Amino acid sequence: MGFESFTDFLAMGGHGLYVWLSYAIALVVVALNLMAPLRTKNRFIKSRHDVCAGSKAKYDP
Amino acid sequence: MPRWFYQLASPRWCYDITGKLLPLFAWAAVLLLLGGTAWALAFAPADYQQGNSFRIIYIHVPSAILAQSCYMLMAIAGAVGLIWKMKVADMVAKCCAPIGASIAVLALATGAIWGKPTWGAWWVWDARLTSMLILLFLYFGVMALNSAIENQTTAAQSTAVLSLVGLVNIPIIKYSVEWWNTLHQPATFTLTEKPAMPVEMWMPLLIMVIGFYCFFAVAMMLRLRNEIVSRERRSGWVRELIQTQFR
Repeated sequence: MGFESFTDFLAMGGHGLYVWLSYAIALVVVALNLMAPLRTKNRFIKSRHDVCAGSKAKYDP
Repeated sequence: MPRWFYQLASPRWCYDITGKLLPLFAWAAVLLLLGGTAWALAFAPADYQQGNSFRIIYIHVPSAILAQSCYMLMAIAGAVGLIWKMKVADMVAKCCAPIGASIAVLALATGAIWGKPTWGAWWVWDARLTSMLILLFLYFGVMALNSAIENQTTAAQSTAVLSLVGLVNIPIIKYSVEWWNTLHQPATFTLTEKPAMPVEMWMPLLIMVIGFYCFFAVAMMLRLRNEIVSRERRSGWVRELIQTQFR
């Protein structure tokens, strides 16, 4: 461990803002890339169930 | 053509196999990224010149590598779709664009944040930075073109041609630090030489790079599976899937 204390760790030798901001943006990008397809999936399932429950038609656009 | 090549062409087979692979890659990504981040932030030694700001490398380099690999995958998948009329390849190419764009944004943003304490500027119109910005605009162009054309086949063909033309940018990014005078430092990892940093610095970086690739595989498969069921929604197996699994 290269740091004396937790405050020291947060400060990152005066570069804390830059380091933590980079990791925060990375977290946001990762989260968005997982949330977006999961939302699409839920919307798709809902729309399909609506099609099945609603018209009962053989043809659906 | 080998048998697996034809299997890849079957959307249903791809849906099944990605269903099996997804948890494996998800666990690998979680373990590698958590372990790599802890190592990168707390245990890797500080750089003797840059101090702790150098820890941005553990996000910046993996995202820059991934943004370029993702572009190459998009262009190759587009070419496979063009040549063999393989629908799944078209879907892979389409799914690459938004993921690649977000990763390119991450590479550019972390680069700017790293540039401020290191070079004293958020941005310089340097060959490496400019060619990376062009990569982001290529992703935007592919996404815009894909959504502008209603016919799926035409859209896939046009975006494939655009991504293949844009492929010329990839060697420009790679060699930009050698061809032109630049503020940007040369490549961290090369296939032929040992890294210039000590092992306790590059090992977490390697872990992060592999972790980012695993994360990409997860994001890619999630999107691809959506694309498959959406396009195959009228086929029997997707109807059955919706009635049995997605209740």
